[in-house]
Amino acid sequence: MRAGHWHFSLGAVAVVGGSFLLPYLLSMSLAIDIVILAIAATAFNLMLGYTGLLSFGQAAFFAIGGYAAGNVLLHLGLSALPTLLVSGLAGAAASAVVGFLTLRLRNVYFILMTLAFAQLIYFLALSWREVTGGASGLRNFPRPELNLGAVSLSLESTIAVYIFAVIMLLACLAVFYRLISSPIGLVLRCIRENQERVEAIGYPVGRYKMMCFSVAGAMTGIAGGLYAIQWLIVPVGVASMDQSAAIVFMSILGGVGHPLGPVLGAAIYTWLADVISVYWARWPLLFGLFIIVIILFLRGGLTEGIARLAAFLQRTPERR
Amino acid sequence: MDLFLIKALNGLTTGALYAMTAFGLTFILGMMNIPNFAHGALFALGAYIGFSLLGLTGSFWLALCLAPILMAIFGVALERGLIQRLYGDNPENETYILLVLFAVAIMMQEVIILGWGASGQSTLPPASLLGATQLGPIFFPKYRLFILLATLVVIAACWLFIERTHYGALIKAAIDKREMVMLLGYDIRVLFALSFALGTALAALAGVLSLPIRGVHPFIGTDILALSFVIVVIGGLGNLYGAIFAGLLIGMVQEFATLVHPLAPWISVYGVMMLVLLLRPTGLFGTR
Amino acid sequence: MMKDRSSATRRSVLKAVGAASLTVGVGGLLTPRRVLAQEPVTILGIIPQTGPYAADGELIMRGQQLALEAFGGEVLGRPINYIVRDTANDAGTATRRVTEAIESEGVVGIVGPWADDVGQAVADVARRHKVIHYWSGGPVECHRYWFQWAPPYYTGAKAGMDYAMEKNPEGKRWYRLTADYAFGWTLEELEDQFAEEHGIEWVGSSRHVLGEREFSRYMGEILAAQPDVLVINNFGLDTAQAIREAVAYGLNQTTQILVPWGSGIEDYLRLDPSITQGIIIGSAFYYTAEPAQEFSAKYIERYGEPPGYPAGSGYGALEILLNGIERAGSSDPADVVQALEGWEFDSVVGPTKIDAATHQTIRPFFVTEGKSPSEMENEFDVARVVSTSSEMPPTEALGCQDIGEL
Repeated sequence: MRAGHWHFSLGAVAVVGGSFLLPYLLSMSLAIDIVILAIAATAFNLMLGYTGLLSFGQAAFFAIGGYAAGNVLLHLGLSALPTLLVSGLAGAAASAVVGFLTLRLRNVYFILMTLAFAQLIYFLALSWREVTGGASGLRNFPRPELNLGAVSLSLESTIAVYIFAVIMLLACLAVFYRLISSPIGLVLRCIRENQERVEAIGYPVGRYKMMCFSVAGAMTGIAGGLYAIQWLIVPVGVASMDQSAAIVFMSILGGVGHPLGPVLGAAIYTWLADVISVYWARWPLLFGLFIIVIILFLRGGLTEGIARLAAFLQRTPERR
Repeated sequence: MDLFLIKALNGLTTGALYAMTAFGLTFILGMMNIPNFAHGALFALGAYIGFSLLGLTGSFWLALCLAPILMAIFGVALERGLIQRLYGDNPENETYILLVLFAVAIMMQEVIILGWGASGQSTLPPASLLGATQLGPIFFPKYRLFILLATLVVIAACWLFIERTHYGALIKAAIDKREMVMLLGYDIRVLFALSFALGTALAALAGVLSLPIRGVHPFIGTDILALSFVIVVIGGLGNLYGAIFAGLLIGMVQEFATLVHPLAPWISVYGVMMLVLLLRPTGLFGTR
Repeated sequence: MMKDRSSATRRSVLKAVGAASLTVGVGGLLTPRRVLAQEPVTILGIIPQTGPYAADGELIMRGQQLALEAFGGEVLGRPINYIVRDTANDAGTATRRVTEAIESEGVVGIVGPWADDVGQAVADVARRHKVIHYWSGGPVECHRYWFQWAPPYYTGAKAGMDYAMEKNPEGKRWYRLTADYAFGWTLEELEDQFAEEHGIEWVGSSRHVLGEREFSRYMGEILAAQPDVLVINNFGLDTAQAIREAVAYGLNQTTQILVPWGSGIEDYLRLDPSITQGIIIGSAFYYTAEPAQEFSAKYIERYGEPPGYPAGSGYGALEILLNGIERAGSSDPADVVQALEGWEFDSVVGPTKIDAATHQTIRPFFVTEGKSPSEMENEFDVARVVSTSSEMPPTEALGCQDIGEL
C-alpha cells in the first residue's frame, strides 16, 4: 500500500472523475455533504489508518471548525478562504490540545480521552449560546464570497459551493498524500506498528503524534467550516457522539489504511443513509450488521473488497 | 443542613448505580482489555427486559433477579459467538473489538425500538418501597434507600466471590497478570466468558434498579456509556474497586455541581476525568 | 378579504367536500379521458423518524394520516400524494430532504417538523421555494408562506399561571425548574411578566440541560425553598422525569406542580395517575375537547391510546392546510396563502382563526388538571380540561413584524 506517484495520479483522477459524476447521480446537497464528510474521514484516516490512533471524538473538531466559521462570517464578514483558514486553525488548535493531553496515554485510555473531550465540547456547545447558539444552533450568518484577489466569485448557487468543496477536498487529499508518502508518513506508520520501538530508535514520537493530530484537526475543522458555509446553520448535533461515530464507521466501511478508502466510505455511507432511511427508519440495524461483517471478514473495508474483486477478475496475484 | 443531607444521599444513590455499572465494566475491561462499548446498550436492554418481566409477572423482585441472569446469558453468547473471533495479540484487535461492540450497541438500540417502540415507558417502585420515609430532619424516597442497600449487597457479594472463591481469585489474578494465569494452565476462555457474564449482569441489574426512577427509553444506553467509561478511567484499570469509589465520587460531584451551573454536572465529570488522567495517567487507583 | 364566520361544523364542511369530490369523481368518470389531468397534490410530512424524537415523529405521522383519511385521500377532486421524509433531527439533513422533495416531487405544502431548530431550517427552505409550511412549535422567523398551528407560548404560560393562581390565590411563592435552551428561556421571560401582574415571588430557579435524566439532584434545592408552586419549564420526556422525581420526594404533597407547555395526554400516560393527580399541565391539544371527538375516537380505535399534542398537531395542521386548498380552489401556494389569511372556521381544536398579519392560528389552548385514580372513569380519563384560552399577546410580542410578500 505504498502511495507512489502513479497511485497519487490515479487517486486524483478517481476523485475528480467521481466528483464530476456525483451531482448527476445524486442531489447536489447530498453530494456536498459527501464531499464535506470525505474530508473529515480522510483526517480520521490519517489518525487511525496511518498512525494507529482511534479517535472517537472527531466531531469535536468538526463542530469547532463550524462554529469558528459561523462566528467569523457573522461578526467579521470574511470571505470564504480566510474563513476556512480560521476553521482549520481552530480545529488544529483544539486537536493539538487533545494531542497534548493524550501523549502519554495508550490504547483504551487514549480512545476514552478523545471521547470525553468530544463530550465536553458537546456540552460546552449546548451551554455557550453566545458563541454557538446553544441547542438552537448558530444561524443567520451570510454565505461568503470567494475572494481570489483579482476576482470575486459568488458562492450563492449550490453548484458553486459544490465546486468549492471539491477543490478543498482535492487540496486536503494532496496534503494528505504528500504527508503519507514523505518520511514523516513512514514514521507515522511505524508508530502505528510499534510505538515503543520507534521511541527506542530515538524518534520524538510525541512530536510526530502532535503533528498528526494538528493536521487531522485542521482538516476536520475545514470540513466543519464548509458545512457552515453550505447549510448556513451549525446545529449542536454536529458535536454529538453520533457524528463522531458516523465518521468512524464511514471510514471503516471504506477502508482505513487505503488513502481513498474513507472517501469512498463517506460517499457510500451518506448515500445509503439518505436512500434507505426513506424506506426503513430502523436502517442502522442493517448498517451495524454490515460493519460487523466488514470487521470480521473484510478488514480493509470496501476498498479491500474492490481490490480482491479486481484481483479475482484478473486472475493474477495482487501485485503490490 | 437539610439541603446538604438530601444532596449527599442523592449523590450516593446516583453514584451507587453508576458504581454498579462501572464495576461491571471493570471486569470486562480489566479482564479482557476490551473497552466494552456495548455496556450502555446492555444496561438499556437489561432495563427493558426487566420492564417486560415486570409487566408479565407483576413482580418487581422477579424482574430484578431474572433480567440480569437472562442478560448474562446474552453476554456470554455475545462474547463466545462474536467477540472471541477477534482475539489476538495484535494491538489492532482491541480497536476492532471496540468497534464491533459499538456496532452491536447500535443494533441493540434499534432492536429495542423495534421491540418496545421509540417512546419512553416508566414504572412505579414496588408497593413496599413507594413513598418517602423520615430520616432525621429530611424526607427521602424509600426506593432510593433501597438502591443504596441493594448496591451494597451486590458489591459485597461480588467481593466475596472475588476474594473467597477459586474462580474469583483466578479472575483477580488474570486481571493483574493474564499470561501468568494462562501459563499456570487455566483455560482463559472460561474466565473471559465468566467476566463478560458478570459485567453484563451487573449492568443489567443497574438498569432494572434504575427503572422506577428513570424509566426506560431507547437512549438510556448512550447516556450511561460515556459516563461509565469516565468512571472506570478515573478509578483506574487493574483495580476492581477503584470503579466503585469513582462511581460514588462522580455521583456526588454531579449532585453538588447543580449549585453552580446547569451544565456543571456534565462538564465537571469530564473535567475531573481529564484532570485525573493528567496527574495520574493510570487513574486514581490503577496499577497499569 | 371576505370574513365569513361560518357556523357550519367541521363535519358539514367535510360532507360538502365529500359531496363535491364525489360529484367531481362521477363527473370525471363521465368525462373523456383526456380531460382527466388529475395531477396529484403533493404534501410533504417532514418528521423525525430517527433520533431522540423518533417517538413523537411516529405520533405526528399518525395524526397526518388520519387527516388524509378524513379527506378521503383527495382534495379538489385530486388525489393527495403524501410523502414522508425523516429529519433525523438534524437541520442540515432536513434542509436537504425538503429541498429534494420540493424539486423532484413538486411539493405544494409541508407539515412538520418537530424540533424548533429543524423547524427554522425547514421554514427557510419553504420561503426560498415559496411552498406552504404549516408549522407547529416554537417561534420561527415568519414569512408569507409559513403558518403557525400552535398557540404562542404567551397564551400557554398565561393560561396556566392564571389557573394556578385561581386555584390557590394565596400561593405566591413559586420555584421554577427550566430546561436550558430557547424554549425554557422564553417561558421564563413570559413568566416573569405574568408573575409581576399576580404578585408572585420567585423563591428559586434551577436550570437543567436539555435531555436531563437525573432530576433528583434538583430536588434538594426545591425542597429547601418550600415553594407553593413548582413550575416545570420543559417538555416531553424531560417533563415526565421531572414530575416523577418531584413526586418521589413528596413535593406534590406541599407544592402545586405546574407544567405550562406540555404534550397533553402523553404527559399523563407516561406516568401514573397516582403521580399526576392534581398536577396542572397546559397543552396545545387535548383529546377530550368536543371538536376533537371524532378524530380522537378513530385514533383510539386504531392505536389503542388517545392522541396527544404531537398527533393532534399532525392532524390539525394538515387539516387546515387541506381545507385551505379546498377554499382556494387551487393548489397554488400563493392562492392557498390568501385563502387562509383571515379565515375563521371550526377546526379540531375549536373555533379557529388565522391572523393575516402574523399567520398565527388563533385557537384554544387547553389547561388540564390531573384526576385522582378514584375519579377516573376509564384508563384514559386521567385529566380534565379546566380552562381554555385563545388570548393572543400584543402583536409586537408575537415576533412577526413583517410577514413579507408572496
